[in-house]
Amino acid sequence: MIHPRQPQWRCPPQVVFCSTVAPSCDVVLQYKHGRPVLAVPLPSRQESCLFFLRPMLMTVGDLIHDLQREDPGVTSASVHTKDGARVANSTSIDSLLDKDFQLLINDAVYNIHSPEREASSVSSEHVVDVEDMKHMVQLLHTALHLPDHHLLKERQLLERLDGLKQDLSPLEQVKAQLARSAEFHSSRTLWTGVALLSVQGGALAWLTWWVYSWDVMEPVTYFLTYCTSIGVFSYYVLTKQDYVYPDAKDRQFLYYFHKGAKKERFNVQKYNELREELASVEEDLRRLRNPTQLQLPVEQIQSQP
Amino acid sequence: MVMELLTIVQTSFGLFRIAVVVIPFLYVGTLISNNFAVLLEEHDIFIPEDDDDDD
Repeated sequence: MIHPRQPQWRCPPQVVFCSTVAPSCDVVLQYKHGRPVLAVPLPSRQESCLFFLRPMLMTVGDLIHDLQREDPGVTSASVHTKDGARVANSTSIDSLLDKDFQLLINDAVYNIHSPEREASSVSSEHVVDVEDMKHMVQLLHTALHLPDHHLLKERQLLERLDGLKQDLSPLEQVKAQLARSAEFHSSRTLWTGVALLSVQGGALAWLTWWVYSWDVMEPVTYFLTYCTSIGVFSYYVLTKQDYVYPDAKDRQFLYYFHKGAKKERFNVQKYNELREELASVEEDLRRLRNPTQLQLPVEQIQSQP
Repeated sequence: MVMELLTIVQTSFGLFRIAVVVIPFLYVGTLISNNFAVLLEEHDIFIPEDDDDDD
């Protein structure tokens, strides 16, 4: 029986002798259920022992200590890199498992191949290069100058707001007057509708009960209703809008508004542009309120409905 | 737009104004239809037969 501890049997690297079971030279590190498992043949009884490693919590020293505690026959155990340089005991298993390494137990050298890790366990640490430095410098610059920039922007926006409001105030007066007149006209249209309905109702009722009878009047009423439905569909065909009362009234309002605007020579397009600009300036000011007053980051631009 | 939906538009004296428009125009309707029927009878366009109710 060959005792592995006999010095004349010091084996050259990558060759190990034993009697009962020949351990594989390349001890493979496997991942079972997401955790790395090291199958190490212990020297005393030549049996393979599974060591479950905790990469983030264990160090090389812990592994060696566990090996020695498991098998008192292990006199010396150390971990080396593939080139043969010794790895310190304080190294975490996490950084050890990045590459292949060698495990020396009682002068027996085991090459351990570290398999590819699943993406979930990879940390976002990487070698710091120039891009990272540039990014860091940009972050610092932003942190130092951003509040002042916000205040400057706020001042500019307030100036623009003042200018816009000054431009808009004469236009607003004309628009208010036109709106009042258009509202009056469209409202008059609605009341006329009520009146016409009453006329139709009164006429048909009189004819049905006092002049003729229902047997005479019924077809008349049917065809009147049918003509109304023709009218409603024609409304859609001509205006591409549903015949619903609020929309129809708004349509009338706009018609009278534009008619009055043409008479008063009121530039509706310019007014609309100014109002849109005012709305966007007010929206930007509202977005700036968060960083300057509440010390929160700037809200992103949201698309308007 | 939501705030517009949550406020009720109330026309002052609403029911009275509706009545002021509907009732006279209802009467106007009866006048129109009566004249129309007289016109039809005058020109012999449509004369209703006065048949009594069936027993």
